Amino acid sequence: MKKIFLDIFREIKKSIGRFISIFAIVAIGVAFFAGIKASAPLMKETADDYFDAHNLQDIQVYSTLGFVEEDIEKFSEIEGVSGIHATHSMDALFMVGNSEYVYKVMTIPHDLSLDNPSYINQAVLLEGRMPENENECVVEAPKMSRKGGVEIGDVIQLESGTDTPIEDSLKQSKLTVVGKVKSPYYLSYQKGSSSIGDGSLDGFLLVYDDNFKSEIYTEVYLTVEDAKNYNSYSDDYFKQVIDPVTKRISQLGNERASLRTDEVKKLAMEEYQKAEEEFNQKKAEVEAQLKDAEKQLQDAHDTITYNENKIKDLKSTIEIVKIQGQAQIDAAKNQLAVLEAQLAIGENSAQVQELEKMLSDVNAQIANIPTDEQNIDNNEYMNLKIRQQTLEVLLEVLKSDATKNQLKEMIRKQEENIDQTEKDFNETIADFEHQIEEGEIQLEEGKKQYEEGLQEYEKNKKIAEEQLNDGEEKLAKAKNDIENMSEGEWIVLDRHSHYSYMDYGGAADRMDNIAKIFPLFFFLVAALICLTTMTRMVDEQRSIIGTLKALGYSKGSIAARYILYALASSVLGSVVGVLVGFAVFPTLIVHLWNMMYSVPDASFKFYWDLALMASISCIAVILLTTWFAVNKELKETPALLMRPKAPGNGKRILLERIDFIWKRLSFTHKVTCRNLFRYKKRFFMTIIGISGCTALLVAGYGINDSIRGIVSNQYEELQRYDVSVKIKSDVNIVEKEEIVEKINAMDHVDETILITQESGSANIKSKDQSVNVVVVNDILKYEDFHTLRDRNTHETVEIPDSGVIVSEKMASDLGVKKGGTVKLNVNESTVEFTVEGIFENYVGHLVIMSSGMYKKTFGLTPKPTQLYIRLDEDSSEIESALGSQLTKMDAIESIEFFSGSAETFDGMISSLSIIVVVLVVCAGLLAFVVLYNLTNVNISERIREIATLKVLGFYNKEVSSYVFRENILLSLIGAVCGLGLGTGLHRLIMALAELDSVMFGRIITTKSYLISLVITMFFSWIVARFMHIKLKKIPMVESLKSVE
Amino acid sequence: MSEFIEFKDVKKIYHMGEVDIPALSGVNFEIKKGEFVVIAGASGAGKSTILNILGGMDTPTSGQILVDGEDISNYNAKQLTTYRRYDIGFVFQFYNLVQNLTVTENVELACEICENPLDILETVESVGLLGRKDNFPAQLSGGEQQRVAIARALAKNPKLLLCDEPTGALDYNTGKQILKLLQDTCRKNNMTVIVITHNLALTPMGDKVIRVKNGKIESITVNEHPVPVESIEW
Repeated sequence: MKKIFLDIFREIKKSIGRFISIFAIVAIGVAFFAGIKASAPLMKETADDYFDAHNLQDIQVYSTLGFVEEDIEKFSEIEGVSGIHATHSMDALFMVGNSEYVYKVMTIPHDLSLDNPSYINQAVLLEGRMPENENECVVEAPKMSRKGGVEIGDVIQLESGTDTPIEDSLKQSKLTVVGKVKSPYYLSYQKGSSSIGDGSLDGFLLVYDDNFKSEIYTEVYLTVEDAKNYNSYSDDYFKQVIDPVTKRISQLGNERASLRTDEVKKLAMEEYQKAEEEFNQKKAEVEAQLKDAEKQLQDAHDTITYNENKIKDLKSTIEIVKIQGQAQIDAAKNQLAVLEAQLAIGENSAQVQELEKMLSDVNAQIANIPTDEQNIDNNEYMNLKIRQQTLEVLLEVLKSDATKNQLKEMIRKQEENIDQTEKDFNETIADFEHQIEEGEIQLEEGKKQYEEGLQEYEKNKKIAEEQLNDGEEKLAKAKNDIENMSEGEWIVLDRHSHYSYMDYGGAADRMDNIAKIFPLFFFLVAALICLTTMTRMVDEQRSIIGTLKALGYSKGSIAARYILYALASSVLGSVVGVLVGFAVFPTLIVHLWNMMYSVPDASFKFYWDLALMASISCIAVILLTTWFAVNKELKETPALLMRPKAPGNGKRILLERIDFIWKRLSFTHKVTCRNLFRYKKRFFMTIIGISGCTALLVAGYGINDSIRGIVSNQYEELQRYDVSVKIKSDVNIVEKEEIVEKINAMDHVDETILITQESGSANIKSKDQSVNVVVVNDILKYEDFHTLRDRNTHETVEIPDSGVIVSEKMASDLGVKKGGTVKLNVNESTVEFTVEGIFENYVGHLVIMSSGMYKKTFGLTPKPTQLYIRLDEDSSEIESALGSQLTKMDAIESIEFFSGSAETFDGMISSLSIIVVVLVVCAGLLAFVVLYNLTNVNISERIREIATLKVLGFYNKEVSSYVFRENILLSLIGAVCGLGLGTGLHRLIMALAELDSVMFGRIITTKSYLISLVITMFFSWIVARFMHIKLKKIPMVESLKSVE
Repeated sequence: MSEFIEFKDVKKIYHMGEVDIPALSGVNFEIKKGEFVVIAGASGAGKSTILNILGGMDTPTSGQILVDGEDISNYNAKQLTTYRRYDIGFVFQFYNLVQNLTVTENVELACEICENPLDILETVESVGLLGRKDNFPAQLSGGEQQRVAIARALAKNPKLLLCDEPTGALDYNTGKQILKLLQDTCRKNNMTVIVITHNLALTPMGDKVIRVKNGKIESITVNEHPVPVESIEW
């Protein structure tokens, strides 16, 4: 036997290239298989060690109604329970800078010693120190953060984010950050959903137990005895230790929970009644206020009418006064005329005589009237009497100078009198006119005030109506909730329901899936390479085999020579492959995954089972193919073997029948085509190998594209708004309109839209994931801000009147198609919606519905508080200017600039591009091994032909191109096949590696396809350059040798 | 007639590690244009070395080789390739046809690289294989394959046709036909043909017979009346 080993050893030395090619492909195959396969268990073990080291809860118990102290005591009586931490948790908001954070507030016990079994989910201090009193807290050191982050020394003011003030829950809500920690409770940067803020948790912070006011605990963490001895990702962990304990807890829960139900219901009802009373009271108040205001308005209106009438009165009075005054003046003037006449009469004696005559006439007339008729009732008598007197007076006056003087005096006085009267009259008129003028001004003012009052009233009425409506709806809902309140129950969750545990386990399983495909491919290539290599080796040594056979060696012992040769190379390859595979892949892969998880890096670990499985299966494949190659020859008789192998028949190929193509090919191309199809084994080996190489490249660059595509697709193509502003929810409708107007007027603000954004959650891939629910009022306008379209057809997806539209990733993860239903937890209720459309979206889960649909579903009118702003120009200066303007507005709760999100997001995922490097290196290795092998076999098989060509006078270059044209063509065919294969591979990897809430792009750019093609051809070219040297060395005398 | 080929004191020494093995130790001969030359000798006598050097596949250690006035002994690899390409037609003992090419295509393969190739079909016809022009080598008999090889060599329109044991792998009758073809070609086309053989029975057919022994020329005989192949028996 020793001679055989010596022989094999010499054989190896002689054909080191061949030996290495089998060795290399086995090493690559095994390294991939064992290495990638080991990644999943290594990930899980690393995580489990981390869990054990920091006392991660085994079981978490919630109660819908909370736990009282008595419940907690019962826990410790349960068999198998080792540590208990009864605690509270709540989601809270706080602001740092312009950003709003949603953190989960969790508690730690006062005894922080690591061996305290009841210090569960132990925090790992990374920076600073642990809190020392109630005013202090530690926060999670974010692995990746979308926003800036909290720093040690920051003082944060927590807000509840709901109607209940934070002071109801926490003793201290103003906390100083004293340290940064990580917790085994949260591995992933995705922390699940929250019902407040933007709907997703940004991190957690830890305070001492007694910072919570309530004596009712919301949750209990438990560890189980003996659980640490198991890998918590194994079935045994659940079967052996956890399941019995959860069963016992559930039993306890049944007893305890119903006890609390009635109590809680009673409490809730009381609270409701109180709230209802308050509401009614407030409603009455508001209504009274409104009525008051209305009355005031009515009064004001009355006053206005009164004043108007008054002015009208004044105006008519002035007319009367004018007429009266004029009449007075006229009368005075008449009198003056009479006086003047009298004066004139007195100066004329003829006139006096005439007067005397007239007097005697009058006297005579009076005398004619019978005496009994001489009374006051007789007009004629009275007239005559007056006339008589007048005449007598006249005469008397006329007759005396005094009278004249008197008359003159009287005239003068009368004239003065008239002047005075006229003056008075004018004054009176002016006075009146002034009054009217003033009255009119007052009236105007009154009217204005009234208008303003009316507007104010309408506004207040609108606000009041909104508030009342809100209150009524809420009350109705609350009542409904209480009435439908289900029996209290304990929810006992083991790690199967623990988000981080499952998330990380899922990642490991996905890795395991990838590990299933790659090795298969490499094994196939290994088998093909081995087949061609060993077939060639056996062919070359035909005569030796024949001679040995003729000498009487058995089939087995002849085959052993080749089997041992293959065994030696494959065993060596396996050993190297296993070592390199375990050293490189698992740690690298775990490291890559851990960029997204806060699990410590893994160290080298040797898995015997995997090593043996990979090695044995690969060696078996190699030995089988070797046996297959040898056996074919061994079946022939020694006589036949010792004669040269009949040269293979030249054959016409199919292409020759397609005359019009064949005619056009140059002679050398025809030769190449023939050769291609002549050696089928090599043809397939090369196609498979090279297509694999290209596929790896396409997948690698495709991953890059997909990741890079997210940012440009999401933040440039789909979301066409640049800023999202959250307006405080307590801002009333009128103030809101003012805010929007104010923002619209700011520089560079192009357009804005006010929408409602609610945080919801859905059970996606058996994880509670946060879902953003967008309620749109103005559907037409919304489409200007957010492109809703189908990813493939780019057809617009309409927001339906009834039903919802859902983002693509969410739909595909839920397995929902158009027309199906999705279940969402929104507003503390679980609702089923009909999916009316699926739209392209990359970041986050999104559900969009019309406001009508929202009202119909929840009974509440949506309250829009989210303002999307589109800028007409975007730059960091514009943003910071806008940002500082916005922060000055009190009513604005938070501002998010999407350019910032895009940037941080970009940074976050670009770390994954190491994958590209790994894949390119693998692709290179594969290409070299396959092409080197191919060319090697090709040359050794055709050495005679090549030597002949040289003798015929082909230059070295021509010989190379004669041989390598085939390689180039094969590489090209392989590469083109690889483009298709790579597209598939890329899709597969994407589906497996995708983050929960992020949809990677599915598109591979043409550039990536081109690069992959070019790199493949470059590898092919390098091998050709390398082999050219070998070709040059082929001696021409080979052509003269006899055929072996 | 001037000398077409001249070997002047050509030596070839192979270095095998420490040992020097002389293959040719001073060879001198001349060949005229259009001559049919037979170089004969036992195995290992050095005739293959002469063929290799004359065929431009190897270079002498010392000495001078003039072919058509050109000294090829100092040619570099590239010049030698060009020399083979344009000046030499080679007929191998085992035909060395490309199995994957038809008769015509094998001829075409050589013509591809020549400056003034003969018409391919005419050449194929001249070796009597027009009827089988589209057959693959595996479908031909040994003699037919050797005809293809000759056609391939001729089609290049070389100055010199070198034939290495052209009948070595053939039976008696077929071998005769091939030799006849070579002799006819020489006569008709005034082609210089050099046949290398260990079969001394063939010597009467050559215009000139060069016998080689132990790396030296044993004798050079000029036949005034070369015998046609048909009349030779062996």
